[in-house]
Amino acid sequence: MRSSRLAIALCLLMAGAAILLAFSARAAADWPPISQDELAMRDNPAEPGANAMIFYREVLVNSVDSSENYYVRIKVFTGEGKKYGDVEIPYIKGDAQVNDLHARTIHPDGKIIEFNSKVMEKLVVKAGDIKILEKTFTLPDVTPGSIIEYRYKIQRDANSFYNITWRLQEELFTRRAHFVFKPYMSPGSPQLLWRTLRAPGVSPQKQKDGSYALDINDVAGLADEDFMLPQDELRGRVEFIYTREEYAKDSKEYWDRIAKVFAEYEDKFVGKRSSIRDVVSQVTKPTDSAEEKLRKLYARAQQVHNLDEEPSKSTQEEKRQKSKDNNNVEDILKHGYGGNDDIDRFFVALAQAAGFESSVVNLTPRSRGLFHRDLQDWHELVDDLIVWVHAGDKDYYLDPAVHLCPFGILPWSETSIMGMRPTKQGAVFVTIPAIPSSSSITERKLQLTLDLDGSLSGTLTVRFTGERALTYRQNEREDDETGKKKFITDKVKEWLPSTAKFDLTSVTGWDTPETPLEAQGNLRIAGMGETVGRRILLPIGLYEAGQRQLFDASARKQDIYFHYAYEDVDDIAIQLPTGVQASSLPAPQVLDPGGQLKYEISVKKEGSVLHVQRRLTVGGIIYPVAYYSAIRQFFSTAKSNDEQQLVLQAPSSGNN
Amino acid sequence: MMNNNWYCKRLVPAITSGLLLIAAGLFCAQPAAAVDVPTWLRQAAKETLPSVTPETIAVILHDEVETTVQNNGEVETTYRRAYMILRPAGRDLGIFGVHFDNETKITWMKAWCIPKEGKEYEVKEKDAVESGLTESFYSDDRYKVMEIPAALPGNVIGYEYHQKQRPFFLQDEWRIQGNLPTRRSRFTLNLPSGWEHVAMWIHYPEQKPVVDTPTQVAWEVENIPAIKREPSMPDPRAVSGRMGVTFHPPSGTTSALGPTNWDQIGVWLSQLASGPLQPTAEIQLKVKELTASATTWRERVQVLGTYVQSRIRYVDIEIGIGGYQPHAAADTFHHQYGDCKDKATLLSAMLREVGIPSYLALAQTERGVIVPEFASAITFNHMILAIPLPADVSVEGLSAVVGTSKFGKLLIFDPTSEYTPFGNLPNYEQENYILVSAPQGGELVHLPLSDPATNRLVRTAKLELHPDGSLSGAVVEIRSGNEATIQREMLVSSSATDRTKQLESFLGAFLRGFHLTKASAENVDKVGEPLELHYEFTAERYAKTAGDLLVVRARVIGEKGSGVAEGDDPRRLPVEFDDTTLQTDDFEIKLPPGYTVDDLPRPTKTETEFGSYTSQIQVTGDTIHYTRTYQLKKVFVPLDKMDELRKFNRQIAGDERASVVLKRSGQ
Repeated sequence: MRSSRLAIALCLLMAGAAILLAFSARAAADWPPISQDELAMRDNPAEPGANAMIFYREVLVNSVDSSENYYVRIKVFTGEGKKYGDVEIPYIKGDAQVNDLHARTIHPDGKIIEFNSKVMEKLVVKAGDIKILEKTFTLPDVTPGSIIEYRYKIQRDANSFYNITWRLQEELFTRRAHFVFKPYMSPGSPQLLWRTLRAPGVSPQKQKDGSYALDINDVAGLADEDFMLPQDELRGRVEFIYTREEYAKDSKEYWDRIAKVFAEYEDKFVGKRSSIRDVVSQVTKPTDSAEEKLRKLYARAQQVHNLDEEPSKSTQEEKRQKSKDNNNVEDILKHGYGGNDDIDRFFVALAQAAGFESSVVNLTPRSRGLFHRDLQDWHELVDDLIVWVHAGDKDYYLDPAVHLCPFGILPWSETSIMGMRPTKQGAVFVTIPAIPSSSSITERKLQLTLDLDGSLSGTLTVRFTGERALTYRQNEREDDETGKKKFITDKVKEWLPSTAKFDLTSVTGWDTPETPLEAQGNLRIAGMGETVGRRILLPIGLYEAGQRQLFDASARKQDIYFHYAYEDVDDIAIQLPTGVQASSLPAPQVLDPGGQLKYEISVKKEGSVLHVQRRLTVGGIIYPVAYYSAIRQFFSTAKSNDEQQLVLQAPSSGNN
Repeated sequence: MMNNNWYCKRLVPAITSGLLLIAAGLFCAQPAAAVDVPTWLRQAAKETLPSVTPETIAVILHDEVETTVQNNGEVETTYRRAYMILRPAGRDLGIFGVHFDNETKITWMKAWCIPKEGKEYEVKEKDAVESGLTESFYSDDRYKVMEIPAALPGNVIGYEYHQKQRPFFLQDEWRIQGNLPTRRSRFTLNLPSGWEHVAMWIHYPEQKPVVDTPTQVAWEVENIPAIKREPSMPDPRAVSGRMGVTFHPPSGTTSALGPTNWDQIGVWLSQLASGPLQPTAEIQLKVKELTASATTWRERVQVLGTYVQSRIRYVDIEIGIGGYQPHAAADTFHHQYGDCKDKATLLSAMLREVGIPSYLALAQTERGVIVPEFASAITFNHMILAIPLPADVSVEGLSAVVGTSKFGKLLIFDPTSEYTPFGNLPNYEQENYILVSAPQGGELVHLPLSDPATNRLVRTAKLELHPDGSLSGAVVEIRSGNEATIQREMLVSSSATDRTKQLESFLGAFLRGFHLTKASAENVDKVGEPLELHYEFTAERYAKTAGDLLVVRARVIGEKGSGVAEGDDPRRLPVEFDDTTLQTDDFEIKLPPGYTVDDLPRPTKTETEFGSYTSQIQVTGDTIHYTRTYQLKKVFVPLDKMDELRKFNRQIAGDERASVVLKRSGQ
């Protein structure tokens, strides 16, 4: 238990370490010189208008004497940039000490204000014998134009092998950074490997004394934008890793070796068991097609009670539950419960017993990060499993462990990525297919009547399929009926103007993953139609007319990232009041700029009913930032088309 | 933002729910060998549930505070609470944190669960996680966080803890009403012989004690409804039932054990802050430099006030008695940072150097929390400065001047509110109370709302509509008062890139396919001057084509009204706005050649006690002229005016959607 608590504590520490890490072994009086240009600088030409920039930072980690020295110099440009004068240094008591802290502020006129206040010590969290603390201090008299700099030393208590990561990119633009790592090596010690991520051309240089050094220049700040990949996936870094594993010259050799170890474990767990064959016989018929069999086995695997899907339990509850471990698939059958991985392996066993080729696929779900094959790090592939089955002439990728996940669908985080299928011969890398947009549809159907005062009333039916339905089912799986109704009602209200009144009458499909999640209700929107003289004006994209458009910023730095492809389909029928005529109907509009983006909207008159049909398709997941302007234009034009007005003539007026 | 945490550690846990959950990740409770559920919890579990709405996640079955006061002023308090969990979302109640710090100790703590089926659970103090995560940068606040097992629907959970403290004020506050319905709540006060008490019921009908002896008094309330959160509602403390109780030794001996009325609290604070007011040569030099060219009282106050307001960086500091006592002016000046009380104290010291007296004043950043009838320092969370206005100084342009009975006319100044112009009050201090402190006594002073015309937004636009429906033109916004303060805060806290994004985000709410072609801001750093924004844009497909018609929304950009209570859902609580305001739009839209106006929306005019709105569209030659005026005169709208507010907001929304229909000439 201590180790897991320590792991959480370390995670907390890392999460809280938003400080800028750097090194200097100099004495307090020995600050690097400051140039007149640095003092006078008012903006960063490379990132005009930024709040601050890092002139220089140093990081030295010396594993020989277990010390870490950090130094950073920041130029503050704006009032908001003054916040960089508040510094927090987290550390674990008993594991490390923070010493030799020096800091100062330098005004643009060269005036130096030394930091000579008390450094405060703040408890972050204490659990049992683990205590995480923070040294906090505020630099004095920080103003726009000031340079602030500080340094400190973290002294660990003992020589140890701990892995090191150099973060090459920070929130602020970095003009220059210097990193040094002196590893602790002794006879019999693990070998040291280093690797880079999102840092093309970066290569730490080994020095004569055995240390590694790296200098980098002009590194852009890491922007925070909507619809972007997780920041940690964008940040350049260098990792030093102690390992006793033999390092392979190429990744194929490495992964083959790993895959064989994984495959051996899988074989032991799954094996060939007669009881599993019995289950297959009970569940399937010899006359079933391959897919029919597979569906039945999938349904059987989903019947295993999933312990990982239960609400989190306290330690006392877990102890009382006394769940026995599953050591093989027969244990799962006997116990009737298992974790995610157990259920996937149980399904593999069923599929194999039914005569299909099947195995687990190891992967990193996109919700946690991306898999970097070249890093040769097997830890990346132990977080998640899915199941590959070859049945008939088709390959299936399935995850029965995901509660309420229908056959044929995977959670978005397990799609559009590479996974590894471990075999006795080595690694087989497979690409888990993307989910087509047609599998994740929000379909909204409105039957409305327009009143002469411009209000609309009628019924709304909404159907969610695929990823949309799965995501909502997963989100709400622990909630009760009241909570689920509120969830759907709130979701519908998000689409409607604030004057709308929506009364949910029914929701079906929460527990039946093979059918859409469908909700119905009564709707009234006061004042949706606008009376202007003899006319009534009504936007044709009723749902979207009041919504903000995506991507209103003109500039963007990062690629655009959607979790999954999707479609929004609208079918709106509006019964016009007696005598009201549509004087003209907007022409159908189609946008098809490529990149699997598509939008169409049309209005037809069917007797006294106006029929609006709309479909928006986002078929891709990642769009390079180079296409941002086209994507912005697509969403903007679609929104504009949603806002087209139906112009209706009131009954008392004659034709114009 | 202001120092919202000042003192709040004694009122509500400043720890955020997110941080609570982080701390909860470290739980490692050991199974209890024997579970000993206390009698009070067993009895609570047998309570009949009150009638509740289906959304209710849990009911508080039992809520009890027992305060025991020693002759020396030490206080021991026992807290007991039991919940019946009704819905899955009630599980979060199983994780709770108890505050302690250098002045307040937790001496005992336990929690239990009585499941509807199966064995009971017990959690002991050693199982708690200790956390110091708060929203303050510097703080000695700590929390012991516990996780109660099986906080599931149908189960009863409960906890009890004991605190020991030597409070600065011989007062307590019993919060009767919260966001969950309560079956039974009880408050017991045990006093030494001869001590007296005064109870004050706030937002709740007065209840007679159920026990009333010379050394013990107890109150009990049953079936207390929940206060459900609603958009734009006042602070929960301004609407929920509570009881304040002040206790003291026999009359005449109170001062040694703490202040108990506004007058005494004022004296107490002024004494606490008198030491930190001493200036240094460094301060004296700076004051001399800053006031060298200031010839009048007003210039001197303004230049020193602006200095502390803009140059002394706000850093939230809550350490020990520092939660109440300002740091020395010398330290704050030397380091050039401090929290609200430090900034107020430094300014007071600087003013003293030029012979201008001033008084520290306690304030509260939420309206309705301070109740004049309950004299207490524990409900304040902010500190500002009150400066006596000499008789010969004109009040012209000074909306922050208020008359008092003890101190005469006072100019109220908030050195923490960096972008509030000199002479104005931040919005949260208006329609609110402050306690002015002085050695001769304190006075609770009501600060009035500012005139709507103080907070102005004037937006003018000259635009041109093109035959293809696109729109282009220039907009000028001139903001003053709090309208400028809010915008300034946004601008100053943003990089140039983010400023552009903010403006684009604003335009994106009204325009499609737009390009911001020019944007600039003037007087961003000149807090006393009106803030001006100038921007130009082009927008594609602004006018919608319908056959030979072009449909144009005349309002183009900007939203007035709040949307609050616009829907039909019943409202249970009053509405509170941030500010009074007076806003006008004056837009000219030149029509494309060949088009004439075929239909115009009707003018809008609505007048209420709390606000007014008028708009009209006129056509002059080839130009549409859209003008409107929006005014909020009050910040509170009571429940009985909710229909009026709904109608008001709907009329504004209707006008904002209103379109002009253009027709091609000769059709």
